[in-house]
Amino acid sequence: MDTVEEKKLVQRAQNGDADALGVLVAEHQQFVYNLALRAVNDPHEAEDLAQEAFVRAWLALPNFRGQSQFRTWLYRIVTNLCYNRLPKLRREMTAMGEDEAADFPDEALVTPEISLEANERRTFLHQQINSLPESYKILVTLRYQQELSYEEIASVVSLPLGTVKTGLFRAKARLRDALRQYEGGRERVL
Amino acid sequence: MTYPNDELDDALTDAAQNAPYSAPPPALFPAIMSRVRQLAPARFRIRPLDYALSAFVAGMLGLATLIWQLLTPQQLAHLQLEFLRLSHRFSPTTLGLIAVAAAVLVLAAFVVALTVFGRSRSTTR
Repeated sequence: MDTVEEKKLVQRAQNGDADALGVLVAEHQQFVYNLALRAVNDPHEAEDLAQEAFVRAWLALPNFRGQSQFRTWLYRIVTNLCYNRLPKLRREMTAMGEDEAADFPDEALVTPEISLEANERRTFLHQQINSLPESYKILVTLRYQQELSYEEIASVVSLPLGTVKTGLFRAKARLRDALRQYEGGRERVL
Repeated sequence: MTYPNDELDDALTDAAQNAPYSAPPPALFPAIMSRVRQLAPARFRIRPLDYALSAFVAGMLGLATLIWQLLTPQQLAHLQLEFLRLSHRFSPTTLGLIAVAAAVLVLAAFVVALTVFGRSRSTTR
């Protein structure tokens, strides 16, 4: 769905058109559910949070001024609900600080070419991403799966830009370490 | 053997971008839409409070008119006398200031009511 089409749907939904909201729900429900799932690690609770997020979005739509994209506004609702449900998550994310990545550039994401033999490594990394702390998982998901900029992520998770950069820096460092160990192990076996 | 950071970063980016999504439960969409439709009255519908306030204001105006109609000439003269006494007690400037202060208070009450009721309407719809 392109931005213009989404804007039209948002306007219709703001005027009380539930069918327009239905299209937006269909478009975003998968990511909203997965974002919640990565935060709470429980499918039932994630479903409940996703449902609540869309209902709140519906109620708050008249106040949505379109200053940000609809999806970032929606994800902010999801993360706020997650914070309410898990106060520990908010504390963990705030505690990441912002000292390690002051000059971490917001480089464009480029999809690398991966050979077939790298599929195994990819599967390993998926497991490692899943085992990251929830705070890192949320950041990685927003950055890599939704390709949000650091500023957008900061707005979604209501944290300073530096904290977001630090969180992503640390998440990547963890994954890089795990990958080095994995590759080292494979070398020894071969 | 050590791996160049670029290669590791490529692998990380690829894995993060392609991390599998879980399919949302089939019941999620209908559950959302069912709740949304329950919460979907017209945005500017008239609520019982609106009827109550209108009835109150209309009742008060009716009462004032009725009382005015029922006043005898003697009571009317007495009222006029009281008004003259009162206006002699205060200077026109003081009366003007009182009128301005009253208007400001009414305006402030209106703004507060509009803010409070406007907010509750937008959240409850």
